[in-house]
Amino acid sequence: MQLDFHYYATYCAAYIAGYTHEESLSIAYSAQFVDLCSKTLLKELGAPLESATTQLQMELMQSRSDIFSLQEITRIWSSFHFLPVDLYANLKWRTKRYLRKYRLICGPNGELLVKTVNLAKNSSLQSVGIAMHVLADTWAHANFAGTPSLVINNINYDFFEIIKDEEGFKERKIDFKHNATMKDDIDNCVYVNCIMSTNENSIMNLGHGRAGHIPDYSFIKYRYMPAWMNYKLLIKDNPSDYFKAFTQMIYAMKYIRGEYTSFEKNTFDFLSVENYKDRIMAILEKRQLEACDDWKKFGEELSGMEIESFDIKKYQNEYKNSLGGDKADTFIGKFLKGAIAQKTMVTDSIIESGNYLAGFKFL
Amino acid sequence: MTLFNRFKIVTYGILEFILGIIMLTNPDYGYRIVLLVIGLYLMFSGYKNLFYFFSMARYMVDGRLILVKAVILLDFGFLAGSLTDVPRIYILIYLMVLHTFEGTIELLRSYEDKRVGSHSWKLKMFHGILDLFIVILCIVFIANNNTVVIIFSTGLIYSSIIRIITGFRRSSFLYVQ
Repeated sequence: MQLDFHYYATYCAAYIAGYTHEESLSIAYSAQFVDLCSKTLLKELGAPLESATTQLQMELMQSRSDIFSLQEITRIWSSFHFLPVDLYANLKWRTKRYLRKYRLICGPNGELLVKTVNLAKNSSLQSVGIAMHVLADTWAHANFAGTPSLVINNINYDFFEIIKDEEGFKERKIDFKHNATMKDDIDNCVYVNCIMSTNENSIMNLGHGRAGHIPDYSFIKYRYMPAWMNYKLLIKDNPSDYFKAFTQMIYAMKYIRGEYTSFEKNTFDFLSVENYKDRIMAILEKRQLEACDDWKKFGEELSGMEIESFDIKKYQNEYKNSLGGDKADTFIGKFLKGAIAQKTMVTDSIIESGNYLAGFKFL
Repeated sequence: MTLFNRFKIVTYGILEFILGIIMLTNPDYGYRIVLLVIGLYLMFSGYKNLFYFFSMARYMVDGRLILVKAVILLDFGFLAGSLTDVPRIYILIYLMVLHTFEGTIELLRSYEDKRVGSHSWKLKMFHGILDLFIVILCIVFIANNNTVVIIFSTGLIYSSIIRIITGFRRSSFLYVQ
């Protein structure tokens, strides 16, 4: 997912869930900041590097292929962008080595999602934002794993977009290019992706890199053959999934605010968006690379307030100029605390499941 | 990191370092060792890919590609291991191409790092220049029989030092419960 959903749509969901304009902005800001809080930024801020929630392309390129770098990558990407759906998943006749990767496949409505939402309850707005980012990404990034893996994350030539037209639906083959300077061309179905590497642990095989940015676009419906699915075809309907993500965010935030006593999996707040469903679906289905303007307009109509553009520098001076213990009370300080808590929870869970890809039990 | 993993990495690094020193001090034997190392490396890569295929890739869509790769690597490994006398110039050319490629990539990465404000661009620039310097040395000393051995063993020593540093690398992770 991108700025449009993590910032503007999260603002809309928070506002519908009952937060004020200012609170919704803080939640949305934190949700988007997850995609930007890299070690490079933390170094600039003088903040603890362990709280990084993402890695820049450059940082990934510099990371080594040893087990520690692999674990660091897995901790970051599994905790914030590819939350594993079932850490104890099993398949007949598969080796342990294979299962360690297989069990990190991301998907919605897993046990870790419940833990994530519960972790954000009674916590800061920044933690709520982090949880909403993680929740939303479980829908967008489903079927890919937050660890480098050829056998899980690879795709092949059999990749088609399903396009709605007057006669129903038609399929159009997606043409992948490896040119990083090129922009995705949705009119001609040409998308940029990572080059194939037959090295299992190459960063080229991290997450949905092999499928490019396709999972991040709300409008697209596509079918492909995931590397781990034993030659079965999978149809991924992003508009429908993104709508579920939106309504699950509302439900989760209502729970966090205390409207519900427990957070249940597979539960959505369709009722709150009953009057906006057509509007939301129209935004989600519109063929465009990003839907910031549409979500912003919708959010401003909801609250009657202006939604400021996302500014990465907004809270940086507050953090830099604070001294010692005061840093923890700043906006970024609270965000980093929430990030470490989330990373610790997910890493602990992965280690507890007997999987060393996020860290060793005995350090 | 477990103690066993640290031990494994450091031991491998020390062995690599000793091999590099032996080759440097005995260039005549060193040449045969270069051939042996290349052969063993290819065979090891072949077996590694075979293991990867049987433990993971056979469950993957189009995983047979890994099996084909493994067989080709094994073939080349056996071929290199069975050769007793290859003109040294061929190995020198191989090393020159390898270092030219690596040097160019490092320089490009260094330029990219500098452009985005990363501090690591100097190290990459150093690596790039070093690689290209090795290529120049290869050209200048192409007639010298020992050039191959010296360059190969220097590479081994460098790799062993990096491996030993990795073995002692801090791997703690901050936990907040």
